[in-house]
Amino acid sequence: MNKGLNSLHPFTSFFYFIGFMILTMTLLHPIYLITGLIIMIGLNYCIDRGTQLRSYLPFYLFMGITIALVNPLFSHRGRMILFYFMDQPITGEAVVYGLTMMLSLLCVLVSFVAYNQVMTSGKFLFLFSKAFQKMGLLVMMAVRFVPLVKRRMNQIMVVQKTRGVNPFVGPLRKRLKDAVLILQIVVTWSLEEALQTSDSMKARGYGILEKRSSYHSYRFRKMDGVVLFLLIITGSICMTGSFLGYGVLAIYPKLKWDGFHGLQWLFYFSFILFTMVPILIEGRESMKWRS
Amino acid sequence: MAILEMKDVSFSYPDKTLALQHISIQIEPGECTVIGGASGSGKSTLLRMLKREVQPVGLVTGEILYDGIPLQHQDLSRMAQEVAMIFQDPENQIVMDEVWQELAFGLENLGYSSAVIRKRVAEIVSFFGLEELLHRKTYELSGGQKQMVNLAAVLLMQPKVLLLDEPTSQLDPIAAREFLQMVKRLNEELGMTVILVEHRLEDVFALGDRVILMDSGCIHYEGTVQQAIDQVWRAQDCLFLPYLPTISQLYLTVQKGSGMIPTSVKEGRQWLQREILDCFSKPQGLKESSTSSQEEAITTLLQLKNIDFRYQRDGKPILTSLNLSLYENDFFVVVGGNGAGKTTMLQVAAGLLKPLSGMVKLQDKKLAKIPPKERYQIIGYLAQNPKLYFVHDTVAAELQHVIQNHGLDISKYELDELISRLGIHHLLEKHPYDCSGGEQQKIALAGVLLGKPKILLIDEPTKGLDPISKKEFAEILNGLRQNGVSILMVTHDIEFAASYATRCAMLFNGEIISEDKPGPFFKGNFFYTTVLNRIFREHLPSAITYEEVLAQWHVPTS
Repeated sequence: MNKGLNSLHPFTSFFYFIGFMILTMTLLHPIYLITGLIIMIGLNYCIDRGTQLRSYLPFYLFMGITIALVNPLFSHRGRMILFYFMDQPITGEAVVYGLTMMLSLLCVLVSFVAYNQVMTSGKFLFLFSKAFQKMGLLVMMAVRFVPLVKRRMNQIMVVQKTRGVNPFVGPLRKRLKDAVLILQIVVTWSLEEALQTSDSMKARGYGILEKRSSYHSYRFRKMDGVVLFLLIITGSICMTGSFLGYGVLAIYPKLKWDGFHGLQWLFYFSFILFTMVPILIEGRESMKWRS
Repeated sequence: MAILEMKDVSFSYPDKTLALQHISIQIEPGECTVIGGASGSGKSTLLRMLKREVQPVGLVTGEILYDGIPLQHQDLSRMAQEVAMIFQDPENQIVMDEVWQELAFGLENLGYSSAVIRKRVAEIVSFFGLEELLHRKTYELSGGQKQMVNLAAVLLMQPKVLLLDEPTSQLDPIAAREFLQMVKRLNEELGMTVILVEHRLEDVFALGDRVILMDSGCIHYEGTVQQAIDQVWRAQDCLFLPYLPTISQLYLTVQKGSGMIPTSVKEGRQWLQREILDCFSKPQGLKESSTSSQEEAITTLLQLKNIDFRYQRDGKPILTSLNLSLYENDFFVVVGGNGAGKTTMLQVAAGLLKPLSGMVKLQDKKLAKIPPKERYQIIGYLAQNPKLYFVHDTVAAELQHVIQNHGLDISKYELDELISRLGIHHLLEKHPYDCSGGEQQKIALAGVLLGKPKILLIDEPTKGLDPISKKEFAEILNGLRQNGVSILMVTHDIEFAASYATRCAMLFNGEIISEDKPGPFFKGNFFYTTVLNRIFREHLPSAITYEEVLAQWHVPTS
């Protein structure tokens, strides 16, 4: 559990993911985005061998490809006309722009898969509970409640089937009636059980003090400082570049790109460094294990 | 000085029902007190009176003192910490999503600094050996683990008194014993004062320094374990006789007179060694109860053939090539630990879950081919939690709902007959949720029986029932069997299985491991057997129940 990226302070990992998403949404350059995507897929592989990603990927690809296809169909800006489709000009610029948007979207989506595995609800809460005390507790209880209600619903459905109550068969009217009946049981039952939960909360002194304290199980270590420093430096270089107009491919009105020059390489390498940080940490970890 | 004291306390609920009548008790520091009694005897109310935050609403007279000062004058924060309470249901006490959050919850409420919380969590986690669970989701834990987490969560507050309200009633026997061992450790190693309310007294007698037995809001017996057992026996008090450990009852039947009354397996065996070993010298009781060679022809009613089941495609297999037959007029009990797949097996047998492979046959037809409505009428399924059935505000409406929904043809006479047979007449106008666990079970059973099933599948019906309700329930089942209903039941309750089953089987790791009549079935087991069998194993290997031991044992029963 506590290895690699997971050993970092929630703030550090949160900063990385937010930074990555912002960068891939602003640096709309296919080279940057392809690099970012490859690295993020690599990170997913480091975390769980890509198991989670694999289950989401078909859907993500579908979304991405749709965008890549839709853009040239609706946007006809650009000089380079490739061919006519149903009397509409398809321009090279629009195709490239569509692909760039696809890459940007994929970067964000794929990074979400990794984000969800690294930033558990506990870590998220830890980051934000200081600011929103009561809400933090509420969110936590709700998080527990969702699987609970789901499980209760399943149990009720199995049992009620024996009494002919089944919202999946029969005419619509009956289905609706049955669904309401099952919901009604879930609610009554959950309310009843919630009374016991509230007893247990009171028994442990809930509500005596206005302000609750909180248990921090995450420490900000030296490693976090180093990583955060690196992320801030490389991140700001990239952002500076993007303000200066580097790192964004000029597509409209006319596609022109003649490779990276001078400063552009600096910006590109900063981007690589930023995105690579967690993989470097994971890599450092596995090096330790090998030697 | 007593740490907790009740002085002539009476309590009545807002609807004027008297729950406690003139109770006076003193609890000394470091003492372990066990309070027993049927459900509704007021024992839980008594316990709740001692914890101010969860005191029921109603009229209280008399005085309750903690450390010499009345409860209502005590500091709230101090009381929350020093008097801790664990409730019956392991699941409902949990508030948070992950175990470490749950542990920290109480201390966070009281505003402790993170350094203190961290230290205490570290300490308690290693005391309990919860390291593995610390970052798990609370809902993934088993019932026993949940209850351990609950215990750890209150112990973080470093309480002086631990109040336990039937903490093991929802656990399987192994988890229950583990929990009680931990309570014992806390009592012995940390000198914690423990007050334990239970109706499964067999296991807790060994724990308590003092026993209080209650009925209808009054204390009937009070004293050391030995005294209490002796008093109940002498009075031959039917209210409490079923609570005594079977070995104690046997001892008192056989050996009139004084001496240490055995309450556990160890003490029982010592008693045998000491006193009456010679009675067994003539091995005449050991006729192996003559395996009455293949009685009348057996008709198979329900058959499970090579059943495989799992919940998800890549999930872990729950049932693996499981074979099981239920005969006509059978009372077939399947025992097995937690997570062995008992509930799943029953639901497959009822046609509620579709097996991955294999077949369920009802007489000669495939179960899946029978239309659901007819299927669920022939096979009645009683789930573990009766609350899952209730839809209406009164029990009467509940039963009417079943009749209507199934379009059943039931005469008023038949309905009345069923209601009186189950003894739920007085409940008809009550809300099902207001009834006790045993009563709810009977109401749910009534609903199932309305369809006049030929087969009854019952999931763990004795969980949380007191011994008297358990006996009543067993009698109802026996009555049904005489009327031609075959019963398949899964349970943890070995004593129940031994006393009432006609056949027993063990489910382990998704398959039926062994299957036999109760006698031979339990005889060979080392752990999965009755307390009496564990005591008399060497001398009367085929005796499983109290009656059998008495019948086979040729001692001069004075």
